[in-house]
Amino acid sequence: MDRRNFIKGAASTLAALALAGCNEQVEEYLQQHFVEMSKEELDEARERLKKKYRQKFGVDFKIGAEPALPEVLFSYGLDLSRCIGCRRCVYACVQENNQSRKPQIQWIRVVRMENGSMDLEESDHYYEGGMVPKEGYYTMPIQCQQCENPPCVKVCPTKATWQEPDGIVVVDYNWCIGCRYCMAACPYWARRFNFSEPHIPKEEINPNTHYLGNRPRMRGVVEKCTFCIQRTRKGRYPACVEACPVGARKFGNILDPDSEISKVIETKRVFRLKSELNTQPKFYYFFSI
Amino acid sequence: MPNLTTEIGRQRPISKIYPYGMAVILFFFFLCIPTAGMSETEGAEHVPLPIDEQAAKSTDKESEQYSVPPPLVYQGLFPCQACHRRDVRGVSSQLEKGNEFLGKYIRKPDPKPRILVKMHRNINLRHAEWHWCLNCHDQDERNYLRLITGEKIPFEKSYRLCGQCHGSIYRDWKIGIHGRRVGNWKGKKLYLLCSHCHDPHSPKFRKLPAEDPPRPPHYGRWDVVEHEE
Repeated sequence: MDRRNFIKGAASTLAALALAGCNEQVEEYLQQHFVEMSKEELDEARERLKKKYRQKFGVDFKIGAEPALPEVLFSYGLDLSRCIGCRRCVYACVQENNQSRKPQIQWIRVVRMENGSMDLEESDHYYEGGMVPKEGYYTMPIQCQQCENPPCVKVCPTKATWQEPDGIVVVDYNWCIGCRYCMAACPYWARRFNFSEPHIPKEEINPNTHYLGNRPRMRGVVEKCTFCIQRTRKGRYPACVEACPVGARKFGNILDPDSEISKVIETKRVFRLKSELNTQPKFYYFFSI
Repeated sequence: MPNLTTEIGRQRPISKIYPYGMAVILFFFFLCIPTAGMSETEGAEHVPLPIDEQAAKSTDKESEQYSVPPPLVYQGLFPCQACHRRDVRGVSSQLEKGNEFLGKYIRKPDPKPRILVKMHRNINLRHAEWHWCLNCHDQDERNYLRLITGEKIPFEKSYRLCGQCHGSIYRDWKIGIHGRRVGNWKGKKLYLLCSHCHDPHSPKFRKLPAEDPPRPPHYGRWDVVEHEE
């Protein structure tokens, strides 16, 4: 087969595919990267997704694509002296962000350590339920730390993950090739991979989504915490903040000196997890007692 | 203010009439009070202002900016004055005179600290060493709480009462470090009151049941492995 024949053949195969009704898939396949898409292309992509989700879940989705708010840099605080390790945040996150129930994917990992220890190697995140807090232990929820200097972004070969102007590290699921370099690079074990097709019961689906956030994912892509981008870009608190029964979670704009998170950093003893790695997380653990 | 003056103005002539007739009038008068008590939001104004008037006003202004969800007590036995009728001067003087008819319906509040045996037995009072209802609840107007300065405050502003002793926590609560908030990080948010999370009668935080742990990873396909289980 010479070159001319090959090109002809390839072109006719593509045309045949398009005619056979797979053109939506072809269009999705040929879709641009999120930051390179024009507004029209983005609207088309969102319409395609809505149609696809309608078929799959039988619900009308809202797929937002709100840009970052000006003069905003999101930051998070977590009060270790209040956290009791009840995992309410984990399940609020699963519900809000359409994480797969089978196989199970959870963006927040609550680790339990002995009092006085800070050795994550010895920590346990499979600790059983029962009444918490348990004497002699403390708990520390770990999720994406939204680093200012994110190692996961550096290693991505397709630029499918990047940092937004408001500090949130996001993933364009359509550009993720599933190489999982980012998972290896992340020192906080904050990214999750869809090893098989995610399953969510239709009645538990959350139809209020963001293109870069909690829209349902497909097999073979990496996902992570986005500070509930679909909520926070509209001014709301993330789901985990509202779910925490002890009020250990704080969220706000670090550029605003009167925000809760600025006050935490100003008045409390704070630390950032693995700060020696120079990832510069925007996730501050603090002690209020 | 006008409310109070009219009440006093009405009672002075009444108290000169026969005690029995007055009791009947007052009895019907008090029947209407619970609803009147609920609609009165300016109850704090009835009270003589605390020693430092200016300071009290400034704290009041400051506390105006916190929007809170309805206090839990409003879902329960509220209004308290449905049973604890408001004690107006005329009535207490009649009670002192030993008016039996009134005494049947209106009990004079007993300020002596004791263990309650007839009512409120479900309240387990474990708050500080020296505790008694009237440390926080107003004796005469039970729909209100009472600061140590004598100022009456509605239950929506109970954080001011708690803040009298727990000053550093109150400071943290005001700037959002202590406690829960729901709504918007930018825009309207609700500040949960101290009593939404802590039972004010026994404020120690209770243990909660933890949710299920994540399933440990395993080799092979998730559905196949689950089937084997």
